[in-house]
Amino acid sequence: MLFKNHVNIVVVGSGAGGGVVAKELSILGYSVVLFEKGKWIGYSKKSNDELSDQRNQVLGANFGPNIIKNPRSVLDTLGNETIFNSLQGYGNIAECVGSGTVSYGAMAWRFMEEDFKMKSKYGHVKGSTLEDWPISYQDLEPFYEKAEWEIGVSGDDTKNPFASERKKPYPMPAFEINNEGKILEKAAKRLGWNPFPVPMFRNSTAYNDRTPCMRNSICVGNACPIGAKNGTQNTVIPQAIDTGNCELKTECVVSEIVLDDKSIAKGVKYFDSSNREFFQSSDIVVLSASANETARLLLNSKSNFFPNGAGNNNDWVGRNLQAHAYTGAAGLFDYEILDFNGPGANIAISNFSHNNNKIVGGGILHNEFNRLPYQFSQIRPPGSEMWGVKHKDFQKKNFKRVSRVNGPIQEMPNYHSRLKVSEKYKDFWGIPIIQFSGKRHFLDHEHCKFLSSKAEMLLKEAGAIKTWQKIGGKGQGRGQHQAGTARMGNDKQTSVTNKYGQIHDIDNLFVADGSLIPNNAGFNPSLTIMALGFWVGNYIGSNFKHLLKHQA
Amino acid sequence: MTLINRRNFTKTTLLAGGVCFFPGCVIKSDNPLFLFFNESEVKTIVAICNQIIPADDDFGGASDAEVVYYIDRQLSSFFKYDSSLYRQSILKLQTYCLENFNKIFCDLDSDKQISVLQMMEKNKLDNRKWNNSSIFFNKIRLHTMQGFYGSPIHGGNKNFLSFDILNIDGLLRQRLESPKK
Repeated sequence: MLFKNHVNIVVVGSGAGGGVVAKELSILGYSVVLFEKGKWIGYSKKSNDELSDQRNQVLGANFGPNIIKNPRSVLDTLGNETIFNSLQGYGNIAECVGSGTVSYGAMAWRFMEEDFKMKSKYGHVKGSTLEDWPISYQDLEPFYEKAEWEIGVSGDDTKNPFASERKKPYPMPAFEINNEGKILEKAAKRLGWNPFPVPMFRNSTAYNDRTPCMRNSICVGNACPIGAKNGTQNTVIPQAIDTGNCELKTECVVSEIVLDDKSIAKGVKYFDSSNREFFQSSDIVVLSASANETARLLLNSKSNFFPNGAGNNNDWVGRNLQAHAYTGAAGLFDYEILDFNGPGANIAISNFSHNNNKIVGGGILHNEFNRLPYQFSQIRPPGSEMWGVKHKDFQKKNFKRVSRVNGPIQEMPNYHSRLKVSEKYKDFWGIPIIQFSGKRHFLDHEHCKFLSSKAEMLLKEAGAIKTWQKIGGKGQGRGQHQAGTARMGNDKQTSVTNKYGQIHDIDNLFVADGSLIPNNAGFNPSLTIMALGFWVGNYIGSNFKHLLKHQA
Repeated sequence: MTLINRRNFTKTTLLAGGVCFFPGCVIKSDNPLFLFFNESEVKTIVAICNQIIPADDDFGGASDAEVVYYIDRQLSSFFKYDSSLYRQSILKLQTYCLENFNKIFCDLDSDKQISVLQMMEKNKLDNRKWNNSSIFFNKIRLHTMQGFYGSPIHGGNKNFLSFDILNIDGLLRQRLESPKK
């Protein structure tokens, strides 16, 4: 194994969390190495291919991961372990500089005050590990603001009476509402609801020397051709590199955090693009590899003090795995309701995020991003012909006449929905792979029924001549918006990190990604992950010398 | 728009010249134009695809979009794990058709083809000999949709036929036509 020069900070993963942490610490003058398993992937000749975009992934995923090199497995209730590749129900997160923030839909939601104290608000939920966060909305509010202004968000929540209080408005005005959005907006108002524009990591006006959005309607799942969609790859990561203090190492796979006998992280082992193994020593290690891969890395890093993986002496690493069950309804109109004016999803309703009768939490509802030819071939009212003359006629007549309204439900975290590392299977580099087991809490499907019924009510009010629900919430949540596998908490016995993302009993090992999130709210989490990146980065930067003292 | 019938389609493809997109592939076809399918399999697949997405008075169907090329290419690469399912299922379908109608599938009249496919979809073809025909039917149904409605860079959707059918224009049309091999 080859040794690299010592640096102050190693950050593993360059997505929503890691990109922010790398920038926050490199601008303070600390030397940073930012590891990314993938490479730079931007807009290319493969973009806009429906079959390989990040949302559909019929024939691979343009933004990674590599299909062959990264298998995962599932353990079923009978104890059988089945290995599968990244095209087979994998729980993907992109693998490139910026990770999911390059190809995401880019909704920029703040969680609500209630989301940070779910247990206090709703009480214990049987079979769930639902908990309060160790920090409040007010604690995170300044960091939400930083994320909105540094990454760049368009929005206007003055029409949303349920939004938690903000100190500063969004840096850019909201997008103009498209035709479908306007029709749904009027209908929602007639129902007494409070529609408002979806906040977006996209430029509604020129922002920070980047151009305004061209209103392309298929940028979800693809990169933006003109850089008007904001992720860490075109904001904080270039800023970090410009300081001269941050080295971005692409195509480098971190395999293990090296711990000494005193519970201090000494650095990380990694493989470079030629598969040579290196050791990178550092004062501090920050994990931002996504809820799946951060937990895997902790579990694969063992020492005398942590025989079951770093920070895992109480067996909480990898548990409470959540994603987001999506649920909603579709409505057929007798006219062309879609005008294909991007970014697509642009009207939201937060009336059902909390305070619903007999529901713990809830979810946001919004119109869907895009309409694509193959995707639409599978969108039909129940009982419809799925092939033949009638199927083709429906496709031809109704491609622009179907509106979809849906959203992510607040999942109830549970102890048994988890990932471990496989004892049997390894990946291309010889690293034990992720093994999933367990499933969603039974309430998730019930809550989805509730939210879908509201979506259908909206479409009916909007004048749809036929409506039908699509109800989610079964199986295991492990894919987009993954969270919860290294939850933050005040009690060492029931959490993995403290409220600053610092692993219990390893003072110089931190987590800054969705793994920290105790419960995933009913909103897309990327803005919250970025805010957590600023929160953790700020703590490390303010306490760096103090953190080093423990290592003497 | 010229509509190509089944027989002409096969002729056209024979003249088109074969390209091996995945030179390292293990599975071989006895037809140089195809990577996986042999000639009689091509005829069967084309006939099935044409029932899944038929031509109509205004627009062509699956064979006009050359969907069979999409399926053939994917069975040699991304969907290699489905290739034996295809081969075995085609054989079972032919056996069924010969035993019951004394004809192979592509020689049945259109109504008969549809009723056979409907039974396949419902797993009712002949439960003693083929108790899971719906698995294959659902695969080829989805693969046909992908080949017809997806980007032509993967084979299929020739001349953006399905984008015409859906009347896609403007910026969306530009974007959907933009991917290159």
